[in-house]
Amino acid sequence: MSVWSDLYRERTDFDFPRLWPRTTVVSILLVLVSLVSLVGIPLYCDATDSCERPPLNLSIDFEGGSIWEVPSDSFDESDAEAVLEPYGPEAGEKFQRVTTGDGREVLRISGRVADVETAAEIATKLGEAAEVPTGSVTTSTVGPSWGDDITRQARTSLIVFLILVALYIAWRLETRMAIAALVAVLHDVLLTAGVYSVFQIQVTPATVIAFLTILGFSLYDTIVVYDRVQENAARFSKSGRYTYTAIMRRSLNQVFMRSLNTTLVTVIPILVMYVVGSQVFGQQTLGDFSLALLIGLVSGTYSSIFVAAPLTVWLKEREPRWRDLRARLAARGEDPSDTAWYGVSSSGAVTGRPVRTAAAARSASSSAQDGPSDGSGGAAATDVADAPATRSGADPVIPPRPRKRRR
Amino acid sequence: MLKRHPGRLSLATMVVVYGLLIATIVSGRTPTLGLDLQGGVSVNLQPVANGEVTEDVTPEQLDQTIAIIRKRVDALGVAEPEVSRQGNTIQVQLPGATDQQQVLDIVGKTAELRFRPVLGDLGQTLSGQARTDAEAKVAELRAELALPEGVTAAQLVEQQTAAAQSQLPSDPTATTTVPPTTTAPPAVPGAPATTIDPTAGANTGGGRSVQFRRQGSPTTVPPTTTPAPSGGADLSNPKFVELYQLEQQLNANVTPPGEDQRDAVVRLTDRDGFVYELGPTQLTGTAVETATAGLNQEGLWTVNPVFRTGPEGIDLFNAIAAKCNAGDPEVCPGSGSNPGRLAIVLDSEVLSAPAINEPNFSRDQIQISGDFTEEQAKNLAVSLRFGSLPIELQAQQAELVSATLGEDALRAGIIAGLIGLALVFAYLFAYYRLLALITLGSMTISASLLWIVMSNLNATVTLAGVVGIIVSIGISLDSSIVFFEGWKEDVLGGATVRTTVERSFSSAYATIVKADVSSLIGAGVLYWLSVGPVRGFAFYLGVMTIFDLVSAYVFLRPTSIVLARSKLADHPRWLGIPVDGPPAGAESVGGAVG
Repeated sequence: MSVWSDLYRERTDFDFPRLWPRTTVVSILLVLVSLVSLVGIPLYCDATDSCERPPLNLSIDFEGGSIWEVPSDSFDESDAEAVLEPYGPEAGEKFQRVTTGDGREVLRISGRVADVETAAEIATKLGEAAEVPTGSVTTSTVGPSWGDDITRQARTSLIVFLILVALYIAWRLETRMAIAALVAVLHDVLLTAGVYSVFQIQVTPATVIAFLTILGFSLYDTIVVYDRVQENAARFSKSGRYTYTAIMRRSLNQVFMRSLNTTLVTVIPILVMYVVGSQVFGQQTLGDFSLALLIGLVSGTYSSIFVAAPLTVWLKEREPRWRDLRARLAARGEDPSDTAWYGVSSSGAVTGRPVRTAAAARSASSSAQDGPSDGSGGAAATDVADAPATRSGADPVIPPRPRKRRR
Repeated sequence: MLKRHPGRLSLATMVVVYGLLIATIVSGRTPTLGLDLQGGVSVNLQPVANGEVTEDVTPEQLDQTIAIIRKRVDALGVAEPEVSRQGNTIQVQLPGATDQQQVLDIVGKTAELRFRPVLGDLGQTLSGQARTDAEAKVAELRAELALPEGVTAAQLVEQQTAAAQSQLPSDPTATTTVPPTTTAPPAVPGAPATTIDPTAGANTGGGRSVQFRRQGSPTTVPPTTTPAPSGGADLSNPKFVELYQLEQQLNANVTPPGEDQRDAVVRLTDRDGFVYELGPTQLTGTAVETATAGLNQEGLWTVNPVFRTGPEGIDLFNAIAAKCNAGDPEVCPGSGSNPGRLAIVLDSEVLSAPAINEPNFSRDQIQISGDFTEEQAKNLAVSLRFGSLPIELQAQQAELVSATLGEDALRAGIIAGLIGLALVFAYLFAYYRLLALITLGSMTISASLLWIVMSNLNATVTLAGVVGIIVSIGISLDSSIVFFEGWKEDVLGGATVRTTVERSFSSAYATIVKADVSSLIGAGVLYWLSVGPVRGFAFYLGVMTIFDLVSAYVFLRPTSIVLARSKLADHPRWLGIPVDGPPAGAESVGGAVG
């Protein structure tokens, strides 16, 4: 059967730990690239202009300035320049023609003026020159200190949020998990900021909002994984047969389909918002939101599996309890680095934990586990011993999870 | 009871939620559309000092400023103006407004507390029905008196006074008896009168009485000039007097706020619409150090301002107090034997116009007494304190969204949301089959709850809010997904659809609560620490997360249990649970548990 069928039947056993060394290198490289770009070192040069560029392409909302949108087919750049002329050369910096969803033409002008009042005056004059009714020239003006405020608020929110969530995870789950989750979130923050920096995508207040939301998503995914890991660790640690890495691998596989589905159902509306909202209807704000959300979602899903998980494992395997377990496994002649989960494999008469070669383990885990589970009675028998009683007559491949301890 | 009968719980949930939804829709309540969705002007203002944004303001000052801005904005006649404070930022939202310049002019002006001598009372301005009636009466009287068109009664009085003067140049009484400005209609009750006294002198100082006086009450001086038949108008005719008074009322000519110049003679109203003619500003709120409200020895509410020392404080006040007390006809005329009055004006509104009962005050022994209620006294004290340090505001951010653009944005948001939802449910149906129906039901419950809350709180939906709601679709669905995957896993692990449903749910719910709390922390922090659109976004994200937790417990769970106990559970494949093997096995499992 195909991988999809296995996914549907929750019989996957992807060897995530084997991927971790490689993904760690990739993550570190990506973070480094982001950092380099964020401190202002250009990574590439445009064909047309120089290599110099700001670390982030901030919209006028951060630096102060105005945007006017004149809804008129005939009013063009030279007409606008005539209106803006008395207000100095900075008043009209950029001119852009936009077509809205229902085919109307809008001239979008951005520039800098002394204050909000002047910008309002210009809006009135533009409206008069374009012969459109009062109030139809959309104006947005931001004073120079407003952007600093937004940035400061975002920074404060970020720090307070991270502290609170770290405390929360440490309280409900584990301190080591909190540390790993924080690192994963920082990874997402840097990566998302890096994408914006490297590709010079404009950063607007909407981007910042979306960005902060992403942190929530990223943590959400990580917490769902952790919750399962904690549960599995409580169940299987006494058996002494599985290392923390193996338990993490098992947990990741168990929640993999949930992660995939949740990401999918979250990405679909956002993707639609991007395509319909910004591309079809020309709503820039919707586009700003959805792009940042998309980048962050992908990064968040990735980091919960490939950043938070390996880091947690790395931290936990150093705990005496799990270190001793590894030592005991090795003493029994088993391979502690083999993280396959035998209950899942339907390879037949697995009655105990055999000493397997790494190659065999790989082939077992990467090959599609075929067929119904009727052949795995032996494996089930060993598993049932670890788990609370299963009450069904069917062959138990995975013991049902015990009732969760409520706090 | 509900625990044992999950069917009843999900039914009860549906009845309650949909009942409330219908009630909300029938009552016609809807959420308010934000500016970016319906068009309008928004301005964010921050306090500045010397051109730099300052943090050095008290909440009391900001509240006072907001009250002033609210009053100004109300005068614009915008349907639902909203003035709110977020931290030190004052946000003014005027849906439907189109003139950004006008709005900026109005809200950005610094409110100054001014002390102006009262030159005269002009009665009460008329508005609404009273005004229409008065206009009709005037037309009637004019016709009756056969007055020439375009000449007011006041002009006739002036003409005749001038004539009388030229006839009797040596008689000064002719002019002083007809000061039109002191003429108040007898029918109109006097403005609430107040007096300024030295508090120390209240009971000890020279036996002067400290009662407040009714100032504007019948001091009417009707035109008493000898009837002069010139112009064909008999000025002593009671009908002419009535016409004169009505015209005075109609033409009170209140100075518009924009023309309220500091050093000009202006006509301003108090809260009840009494019009005062006021002289140039003598001193401003900066002369006041502080002010308190309290009960005096007689148990009446009074306000005690304390002036600053020196030439910019108490000296300025005493200079004008002396003139008012003496009733200086040029600067601060009294009426009859009463001393002159000094009006306290904030933002073109006369707060109080106390008579000055002493020529000289020491700076902290001043008492404004009158028939104040506790609230009035406290408000006046706050205004006096505010006047000592008015907040200068600067617009930091302003936005004008045209109505068409707003509609476009709303439409784009709704269409995107609907398409997204349709695609998501198509996927869920393909994956979870019948279970997707329960998810759909659960989503409908939380969406209904959202609509009920939004409509009844009259919450504002901005574009950012719409995005927040669209994003929360993912979070809401996740609770179903975590549960279904857990259930599926347990069933594939050998349990039956029926036996494991409750256990799978509680296990999934514990996970969801943990994860949702982190979302809630995020939404809470964002809401708490930010301004404007971010708040809208965070608010809806947070609210939807809570509703998701609620509807998962009161709908998703019981409905799933009902489904699991029904015959449908004999076909796990219909629930998107691929139990391999002959259906007969599934049946026997079901039978064994039943």
